Amino acid sequence: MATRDAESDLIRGNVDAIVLNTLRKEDSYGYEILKDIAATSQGEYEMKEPSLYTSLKRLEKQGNVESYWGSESQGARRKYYHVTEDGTRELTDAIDRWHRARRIIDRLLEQDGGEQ
Amino acid sequence: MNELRMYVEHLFRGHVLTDETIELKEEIYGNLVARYEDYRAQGMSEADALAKTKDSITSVSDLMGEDAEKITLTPASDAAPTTVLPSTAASSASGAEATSPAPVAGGESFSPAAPVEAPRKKLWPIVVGAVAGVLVIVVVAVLAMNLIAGPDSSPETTQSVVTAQTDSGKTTDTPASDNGDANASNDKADASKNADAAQDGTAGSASGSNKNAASTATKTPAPQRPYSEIGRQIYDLTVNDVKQYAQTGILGNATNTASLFNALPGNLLGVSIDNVDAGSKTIKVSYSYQEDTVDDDELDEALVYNAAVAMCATDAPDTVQYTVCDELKEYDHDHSRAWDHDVYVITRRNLEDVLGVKLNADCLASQDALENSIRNQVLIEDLSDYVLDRAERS
Repeated sequence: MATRDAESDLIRGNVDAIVLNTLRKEDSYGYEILKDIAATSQGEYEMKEPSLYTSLKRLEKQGNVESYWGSESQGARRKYYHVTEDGTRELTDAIDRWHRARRIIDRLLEQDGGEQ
Repeated sequence: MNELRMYVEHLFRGHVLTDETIELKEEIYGNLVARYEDYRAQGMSEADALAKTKDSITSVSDLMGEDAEKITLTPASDAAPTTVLPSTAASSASGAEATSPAPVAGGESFSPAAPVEAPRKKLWPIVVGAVAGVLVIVVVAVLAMNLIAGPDSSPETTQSVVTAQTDSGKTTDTPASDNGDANASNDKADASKNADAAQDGTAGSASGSNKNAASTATKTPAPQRPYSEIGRQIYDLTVNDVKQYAQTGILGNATNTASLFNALPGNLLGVSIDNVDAGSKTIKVSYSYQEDTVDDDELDEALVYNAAVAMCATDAPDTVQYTVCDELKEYDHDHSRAWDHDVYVITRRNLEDVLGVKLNADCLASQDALENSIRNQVLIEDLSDYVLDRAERS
């Protein structure tokens, strides 16, 4: 459990990018996004619902996603999210940032004898 | 699915609801339902699926932003659309209301053209209170002067009382002329009598009248028991008939909402709950009946009365939307349509304005409270008419 929490901490800085990447394929709503993330991580990472709402709120504020209500005729309504052009650019940037950071951390940890 | 709705309501209880958080609440509910259905589809038992769904989000405090303060008091002016009224906050708010002039403001916004007396009457107890308050000061002044100056100075004392009375007359004049209510001048006369009594040294009667003013602050005279069937249902309804449903809550529990409306006047007609939407705090209710089997006026009274009672419940709606379907007689059937529809949207704000009371659990606290805050006013002719005219949607 402790390992998982520590991993979650490392992943946390990339939550927005992960959400954007999930939405890049198609518009989606909260629970579906979470399921998608769990599936893509092959069950190794499960995003918590509150983290997702916080992330979506932030992304929307930044103009990286837009939301709209689904047209479910019955049952509960679902709020869908759509990536904007800004969001697509931001995702590309975020992926670049991650690659650089990973390279740096890899280097630093290898110098320290970390495994790779 | 009701349980999930209740759970979401519970998560948001005590948080200020802005447009943004109302949407968030709706979104969370939608996702919880999706999650629950997914768990069920995987073969999980109802109980396990519910428990696991609830576990996925146990607090919304982190999502509410900086302005997410707990409610301490809800101002009457903008209570309706954007704030949630948990029962504890509601009662503390209404406690504050009792001494604030909010009902007067409601009375003033009432159209002067409407021939309704009830809300205006809300002014006179305040007038009486003001007069009585002045009198208490006068009496104290008189007693003090008697003590200081002794019996020799009595002419002077009388003089000062007369001046004070004139002043109290002025105080009364302003609100009395504003609403043109004959009661105000009567009370002024009464107050003068009290002043005379007070002058005679019976200070108790002045403070007595003050107390009286407070206790009648929400009172409309009890009407005659009506002759019509629905009118009698309104007249005879007791707090106990509805209390259990009202306390269990409305928005989180559609079954309970239906039980409440089935206990309320007009239940002999076809009544159904079409929709309970906690997000917009709206319930939609339909009444249907055969043309000419119901008197329109008494049905109007029932609609207003029932909306008011529902708004006093726990987890209460801010909007009650009615669809009244009146099935036309056969000969109309053949030619045009079978039903006549009327839609009314009654909002908490409008209803509280007209009734001059804050609709909350206090109104259902006792039989007296129910009768004084709601029943007696609804049974006043024209009041329901007035409310429904404002509420009608084409």
